[in-house]
Amino acid sequence: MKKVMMGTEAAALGAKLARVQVVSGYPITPQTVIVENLADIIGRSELKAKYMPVESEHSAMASCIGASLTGARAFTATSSQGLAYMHEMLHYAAGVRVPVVMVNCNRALASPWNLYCDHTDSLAQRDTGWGQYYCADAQDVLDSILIAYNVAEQAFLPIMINMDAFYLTHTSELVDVPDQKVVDIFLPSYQPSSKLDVDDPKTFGNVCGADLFTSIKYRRHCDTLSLEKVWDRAATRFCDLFNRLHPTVEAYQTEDADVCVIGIGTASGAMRLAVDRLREEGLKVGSLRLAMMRPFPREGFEEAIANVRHLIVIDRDVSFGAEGIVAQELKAILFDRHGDVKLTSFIAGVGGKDISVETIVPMVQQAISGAGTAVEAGTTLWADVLP
Amino acid sequence: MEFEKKIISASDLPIMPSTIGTMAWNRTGDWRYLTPAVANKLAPCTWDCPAAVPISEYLNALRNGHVERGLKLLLANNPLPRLTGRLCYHPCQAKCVRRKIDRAISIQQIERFLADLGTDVTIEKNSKTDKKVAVIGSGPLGLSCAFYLGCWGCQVVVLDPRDQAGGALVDLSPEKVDPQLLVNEIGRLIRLADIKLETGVAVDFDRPGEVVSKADLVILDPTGLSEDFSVPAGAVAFNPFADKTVDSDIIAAKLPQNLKPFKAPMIAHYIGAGRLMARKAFDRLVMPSGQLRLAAPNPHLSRQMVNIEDIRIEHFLSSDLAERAIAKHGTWEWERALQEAECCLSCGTCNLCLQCVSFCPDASIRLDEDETAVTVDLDHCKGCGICAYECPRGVITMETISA
Amino acid sequence: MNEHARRKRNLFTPGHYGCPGCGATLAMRQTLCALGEDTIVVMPAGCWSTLIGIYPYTCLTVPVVSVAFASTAAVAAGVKAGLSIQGNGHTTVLAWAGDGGTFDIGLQALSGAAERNDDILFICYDNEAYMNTGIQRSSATPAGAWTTTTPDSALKDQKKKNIVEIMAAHRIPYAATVSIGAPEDLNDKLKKAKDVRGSRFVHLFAPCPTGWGHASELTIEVARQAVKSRVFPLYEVFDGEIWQLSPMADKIGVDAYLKYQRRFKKILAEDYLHFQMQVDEDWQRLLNKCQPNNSTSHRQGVDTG
Repeated sequence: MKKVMMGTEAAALGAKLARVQVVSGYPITPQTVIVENLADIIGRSELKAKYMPVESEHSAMASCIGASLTGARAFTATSSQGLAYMHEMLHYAAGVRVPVVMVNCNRALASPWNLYCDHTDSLAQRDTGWGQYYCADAQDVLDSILIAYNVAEQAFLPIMINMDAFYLTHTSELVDVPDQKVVDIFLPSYQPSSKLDVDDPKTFGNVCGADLFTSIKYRRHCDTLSLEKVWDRAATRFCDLFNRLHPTVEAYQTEDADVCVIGIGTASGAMRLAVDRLREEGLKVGSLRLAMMRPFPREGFEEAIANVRHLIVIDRDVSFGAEGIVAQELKAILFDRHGDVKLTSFIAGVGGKDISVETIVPMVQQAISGAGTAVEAGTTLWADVLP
Repeated sequence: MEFEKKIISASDLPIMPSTIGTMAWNRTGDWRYLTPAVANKLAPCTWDCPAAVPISEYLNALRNGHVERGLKLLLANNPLPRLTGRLCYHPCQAKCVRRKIDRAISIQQIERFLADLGTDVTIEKNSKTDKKVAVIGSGPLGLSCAFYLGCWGCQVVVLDPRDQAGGALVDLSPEKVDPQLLVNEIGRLIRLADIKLETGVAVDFDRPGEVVSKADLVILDPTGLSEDFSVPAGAVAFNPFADKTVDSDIIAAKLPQNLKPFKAPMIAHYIGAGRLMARKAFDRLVMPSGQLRLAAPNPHLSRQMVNIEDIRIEHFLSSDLAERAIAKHGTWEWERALQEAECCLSCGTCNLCLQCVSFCPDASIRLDEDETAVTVDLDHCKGCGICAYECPRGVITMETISA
Repeated sequence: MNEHARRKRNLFTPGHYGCPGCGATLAMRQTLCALGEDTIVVMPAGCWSTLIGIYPYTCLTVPVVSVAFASTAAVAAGVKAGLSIQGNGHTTVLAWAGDGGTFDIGLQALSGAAERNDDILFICYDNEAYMNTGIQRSSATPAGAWTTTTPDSALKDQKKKNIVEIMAAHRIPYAATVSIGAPEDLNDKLKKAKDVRGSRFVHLFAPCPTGWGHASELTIEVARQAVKSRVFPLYEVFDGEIWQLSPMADKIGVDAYLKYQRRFKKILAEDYLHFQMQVDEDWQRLLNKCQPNNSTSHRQGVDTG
């Protein structure tokens, strides 16, 4: 059934269709609509779940972990400051292997305050061991929550579904809401590998010596790496049932491209338009949206850019003192090919500054010719800097 | 309890970091410097009892409703309780620690009550051997001596020249001791030990008679006789308190000055002396074969006295103490005796109050499977000393124990 | 695990890493005895999270989750939510935190859970400092006590935070103080708390021989003296309004309590009258709260509906 709705409404519907059993809610712009909607959905018994109006994001994640450990499907949503606040619990959740799914609305981190789109918040959490998926549109938000639970509950790892502040959270789009019965076929109830159970008592997460700790982390790392394949399989199954694709990378005209523009999130739409414009001018350019950032979707990525010689990465984030985080990730992946692939790194669109065709085209031209208004700082070129 | 640490390989690890077993393999007992020793010690009442009756033990049995067990304990250490329960000057009560709270337990009254119950009991005895003993004189010393030798397996005959057994006890006024009671009590002693009594038999050592001549050992109890009684030829004077070994087949008890002449209130002393005598006589009888063992070996006799400092009066003051009615003389009823028994602090004697068990931070002192005693888990006990400190009756002490 | 095995198992087994004479371990033992096997424990960083055992072994045979320091009450609330949405309303969710994890870093989550009246039993085992990290002061440390961060040159000025008053202000159905030195009282109160629905808070006094500087065999005795001297009185608070004293032995002076503990050596020598005065004042405050005319009705028990 198709409906017009904002991304946050789509997220709430996704959680409802996933039949989550415990929802922890704490307000933070621009996520708040998610928890507001869920409070109402649960209040009207449209979803059989416990709603916990927690007193902080740290407690939001803590209570999701607690609920998940009893075998219940748990959900929460947050953004920037809240995500940062629950940082230690993100490590904890991944370490204790609970398949919590959380929606994060990518927003800039203080100081100074800025409520608008910026990817530093979630990318700064990439070491916590959560799966990370970045949505392109509201449909992607709803669908990816369902796929995420499917994947998380197979791999016993938590997954973060990210969506751009305001571009996705507050923009209305047409969304095809799947049928609950079909969703139930795709996503059966959660079967934990182990849980807090008085009939089978165990202690979870007590102090571990160095010998076993290494083996535990190794196992977890392998399982985290496997998320790419697990997601692909789940997404294929999802496509069989709902006829929609949600790949880990989304390539546009890269097969014959020399140059490729790369980014995450909603800016990819503008990137495709920019590709069309540049192709009219004769440039063999393509674009790539990285949907998954953790684990890095190595296979999908390498396949997509097999023939590309010049990558232009637009980071809506920065790792201060280093460079754009996506650029850094790509450089790591491309280490063996660094001789024959060029990578130009741009920082643009942080703090909600628009990334549009009008801004992308000059960036591509600057990357190729070396001339343009973006300012150099270390190994990155900063667009949007005041003169 | 599992002691072996389970070997782990990476493939054994569960997906979630959850545990697979307990910490029992961790021998925290290695941390100890001092080890708690759980050992019953003699209560001050028992320590001072001339017959060494294990008073706190039989009071425990009573308070738990095991009347027969209590009576057996009493009779096994004092074969004339109906008499001591009336005549003894009860030094036990003078030492009763309960005095520090309100007043001493009326031990003698309880002893009398228990003894008067008239319940038929049997006590532990060895089966009879071929060793024959003649005991001449049926006062409390002679009777006690005969009783123990009989329990330990000797065929004993008690001879007394008078028509009534009891020695100087016979001469007490009926108010002090009812004559029928005396007869019944001595009768019980004879039955319990499975020995024989022949009254009206005067022994002439020049013409001894069958019993005396066939006896492997002859013991004279001259307590009731006059001061100038001379030991017959061949008989050796034996002081049960001082002399170590019996060197002759005919011995005559020689008592210290404070026990001569016979004093009824000292009756427990004579009973105790009788046992000491029997013990040493028994050694002489069985030494050659060394096969007979002592029945009712009275393990308490080798214990130390409890340290009074270890009796935690505050514990009893703060706990619910049984309400005690005014002390009453005369014969008691069951409820009264039970109530009094419940007031006993059980000094030095474990009564399974389980304070130690409930206060151990390591769950390393536990009630045994058969629920008769507490035992320390030496593999895990860290030697903190809480059990010893919290035991209100001084049963547990912290000791240096070398490997 | 089958019914037979469950009935036979001990909930607390030996071999843990607690110091000899540890009050906190005895506290857990007494608690599990009262609450029984239908209990899930949520514990944060602290003495218990390290003494419980080395992974993959544990000394408790009830389910336990060892959580981040600030999160105890929140995780416990989540556990309860997860259980109840799956139809289990009977399992007791026990949040078991030390004084650091309750009075300081854990206070926000605790307040949040109490405000929501989350159906958890939160027990703070209070050894009056951050003992696990080596005896540093917390807001539960009494004034004048030595710790590594309040050494003799800088003894703690501030009085101990009154956590029960804070919890009472949340109007939770039940709050109480208990001590390992009064085991029957502890047992009764925990059994009562187990059947109350809503947020319950228990402040449990657990002496620490290592951090307080008393002999290991005196742990229970120190706890007893704390109650007798009214340094740690025993009482209950119903709905945050009705304060009720528990039976205690007659009040005695604080020196009987202070004399065992090296952490109070300086106080005992120099300032114990002031300490006594503070204890007397706090005691009088509590007595005032417990006056019959301060409440509209006098209640003996708590509705468990």
